Amino acid sequence: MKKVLEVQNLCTEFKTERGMLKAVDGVSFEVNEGEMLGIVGESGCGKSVTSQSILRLYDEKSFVRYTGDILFHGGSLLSLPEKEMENVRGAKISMVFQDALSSLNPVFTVGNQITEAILIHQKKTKAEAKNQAVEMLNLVGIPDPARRFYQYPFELSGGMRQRVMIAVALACHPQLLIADEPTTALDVTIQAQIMDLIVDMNKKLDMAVMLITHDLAVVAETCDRVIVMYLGQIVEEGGVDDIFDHPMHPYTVGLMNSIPKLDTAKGTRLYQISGTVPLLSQIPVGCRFAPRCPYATDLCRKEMPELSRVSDTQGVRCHYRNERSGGLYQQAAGCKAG
Amino acid sequence: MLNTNGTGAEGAMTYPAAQNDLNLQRKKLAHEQAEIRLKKFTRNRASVFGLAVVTLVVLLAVFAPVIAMHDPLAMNTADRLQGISAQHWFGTDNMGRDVFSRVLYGARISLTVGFTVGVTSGLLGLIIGLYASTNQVADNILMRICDGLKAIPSTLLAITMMAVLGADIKNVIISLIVVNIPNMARLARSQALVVREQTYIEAMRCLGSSRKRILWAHVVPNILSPMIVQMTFVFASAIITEAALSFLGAGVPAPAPSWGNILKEGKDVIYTAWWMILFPGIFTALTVLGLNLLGDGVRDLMDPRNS
Amino acid sequence: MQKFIARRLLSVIPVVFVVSVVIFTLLKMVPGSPAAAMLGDLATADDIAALEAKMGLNRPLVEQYFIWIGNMLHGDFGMSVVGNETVASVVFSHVKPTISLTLYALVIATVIAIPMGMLAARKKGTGADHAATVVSLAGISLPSFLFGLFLMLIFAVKLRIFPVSGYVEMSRGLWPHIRSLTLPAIALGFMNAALMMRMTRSTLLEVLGSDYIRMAKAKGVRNVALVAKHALKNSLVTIITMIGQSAVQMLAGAAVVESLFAIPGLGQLMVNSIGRRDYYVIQAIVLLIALFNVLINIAVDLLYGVADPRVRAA
Repeated sequence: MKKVLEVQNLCTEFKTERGMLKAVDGVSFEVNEGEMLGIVGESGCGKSVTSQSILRLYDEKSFVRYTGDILFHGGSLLSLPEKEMENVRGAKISMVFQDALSSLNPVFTVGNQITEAILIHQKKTKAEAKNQAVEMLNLVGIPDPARRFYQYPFELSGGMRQRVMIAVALACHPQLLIADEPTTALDVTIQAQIMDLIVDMNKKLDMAVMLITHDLAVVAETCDRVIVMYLGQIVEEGGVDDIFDHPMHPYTVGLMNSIPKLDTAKGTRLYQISGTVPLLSQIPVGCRFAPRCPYATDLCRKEMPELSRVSDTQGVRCHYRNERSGGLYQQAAGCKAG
Repeated sequence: MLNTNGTGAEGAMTYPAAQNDLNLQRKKLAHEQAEIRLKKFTRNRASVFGLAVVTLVVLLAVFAPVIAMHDPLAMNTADRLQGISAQHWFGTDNMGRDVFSRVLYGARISLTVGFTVGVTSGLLGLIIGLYASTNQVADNILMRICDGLKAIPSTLLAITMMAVLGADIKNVIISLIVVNIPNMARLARSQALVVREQTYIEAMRCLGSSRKRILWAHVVPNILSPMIVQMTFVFASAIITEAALSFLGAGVPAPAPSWGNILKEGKDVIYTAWWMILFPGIFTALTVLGLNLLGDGVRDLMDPRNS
Repeated sequence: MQKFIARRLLSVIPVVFVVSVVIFTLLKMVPGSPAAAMLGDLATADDIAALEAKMGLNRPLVEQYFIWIGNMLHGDFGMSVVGNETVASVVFSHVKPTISLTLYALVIATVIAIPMGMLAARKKGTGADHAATVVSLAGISLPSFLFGLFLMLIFAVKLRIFPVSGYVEMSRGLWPHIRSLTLPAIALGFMNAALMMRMTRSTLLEVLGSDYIRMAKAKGVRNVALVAKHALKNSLVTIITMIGQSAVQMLAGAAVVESLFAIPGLGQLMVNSIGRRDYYVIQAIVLLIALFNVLINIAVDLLYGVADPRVRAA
């Protein structure tokens, strides 16, 4: 399988009043052609920062510093001059954001925003671009696309706006789509429709998708591989079956346990992972999850575990990965998503 | 594990043993906040510069009788239109008067006018705006009047009022106060409305606080900061407008050494006596600049977003 | 949209009413009798009384107000003290220089302020931005007449590039006309240019932090286009407001600048009329400018509809 994207030991640091804060600390992963990769984690774990780092959306002159590398089809993205990076954005790698109302420019028509993407990257006439845009609107499932072309974002419903955002992202047929919490702001029924659309596009256009979300259920249903992030690091990765059938990291187990199940006895308390995510300026020494981990030992609190393979497809960042595969974790987990 | 706000281990609050302790803690907190504010202010070089300039001008004005080497009104036709010299640091004007002394005494006029206008229009605007924010009917009437007044550009309104009232420093102050009240009142009113919509005010009503108490104990302190900032800007603009009025002959009457008057006389002899334009001009510009920078700095301090 | 326009026009009425009352009141506060001023020193008490009766000055105040309004609606603004001219014709003959000056100043201000504001926003935090901030602070602190005096000193007196004063009509040549208005226009426009530059910069910066700018960047929009196309269009509402306010401020500031440079416009007429106690002229000018102010506000509101589609829909 060919690799579309390869992230190598990426660190993203931000300049703040309290010094440099590392939001992403040594993250490495790959996305293969045509696959759907899910990245899950709580708010603040660095999943959005990772995705925006791939497209280098932050202000590099004054605010952010990247180390490591990001390879797209083998070529380094981090060392590209800005002019060439502009050619990558929207054409080779596209991004869809969470809130379509604030992410679409309110004073330009919906159609204009799609044709703009086309005209920047492809040598087409205005008329050709318009046709292509209408086709895109149709492809993403917007009824009466020729009329909608001339409407403004505020005239559309939430679900339709999200479809428009996807149309803008896909207008130039990128090879990788990064979807940053595309359904979080939508109603449940619309969520399902949008996810169906994304999966459809993934298959139809043979386009790799990086799906960033905190919704495990969605990941279970749609993704091929999963990465679990905590406080700027990857704590577990693997195929979707691996992760959901035998999660190895206590955090992953905790996340799964937090999903309320239909067959729980009435009156049982909902499970919570104890404690809260610490501030980036106060990252604990040793394993970052140790303060909240029910199985933490002194070793955990002193030394940071490495992310290492436990099988061909699964990797985990935990000192006790070998001792606890099966056994305790299975008891604690006791669930399969979906 | 210690939480970030420095309270006890499990996040429990430690209650003070007695009321004294509570007051002490309150004082300490206020002291800390004041220190943080001071630090933030001093980091902003522009506002420090502004404060320095304003202080300097105030000192010069206050100590004018001591510093000035001549009587600002003393005419000496033999020495008219002399350039810069050891006895006349800023030269002499068309009546032989020492420009340096006149500029120093002119600072008194400008600062007096500016300060009085700033404070008075602020206070009156505060009262009017507060009243308007509590009473729908009064609000409509008062705000319409303010809108109408604002439709007449301030300099023109001031000129007209001066024409009606007669040229006199008292009238200058009155005119400028009238010109600035509408903006102050609008500011006070809109700020008061914003504060009143806050949830904590709602909470206080639920607890039974009377409307008057809420108004004076809670609304007013919260709108004081933007009002004070605005008063600084009004101070600056009053200095400019007074100078403009005097320049046109509709302000402080000659022979008073208002900066505007010096500029007016200087214009007539601009080909020969550039010092009459340069020095009062620089003083006016610097004073206004200092006040603007100071106002900006204080406003940045109050803005909770800048932390 | 029509309802919007209609409502907006209606809201003008109370404002205009207040303005007229204020002006009327001010004029009535003037000590002495305007009739006496008009007839001069040789008039007898009877003559004065007769003219006062003719002018309706002995009627109750409220009635006088309505007579005044009525006259104005018929185009009768009274007589000027100078010569035998009607106020209307005196004012009319002084309008053109003021309009030229104000337009010229507005163009200078806008052409300087908006590109510089854009530059400062794009290069936030760099030397260019700081330089722009310094210049704009200087502009805000230098009132027009002061700046005009400095300009006069340097460019007219010392360097002799521009005339010290005087006005050349357009019919006598475009370039001499512009040349005579250049220093006044720069003086008038500089303060507003500084204000507008600051506002443009801060509005653009605020807009540049929006999600849709991030999205535009993510789809490959070039850096320049982000500011010049996306951010600017969203800042138009604020920019239009700014230009409208500047136009009115300039009209007022023109009074002082015109006196300084001896431009025979409304401003100078106003100042001279004060000296001559020509109250009807003063009244007419102030009313005219206030009305103009109101008109500009309406125009600005209507332009919002053009710039922002959300306003149109409301």
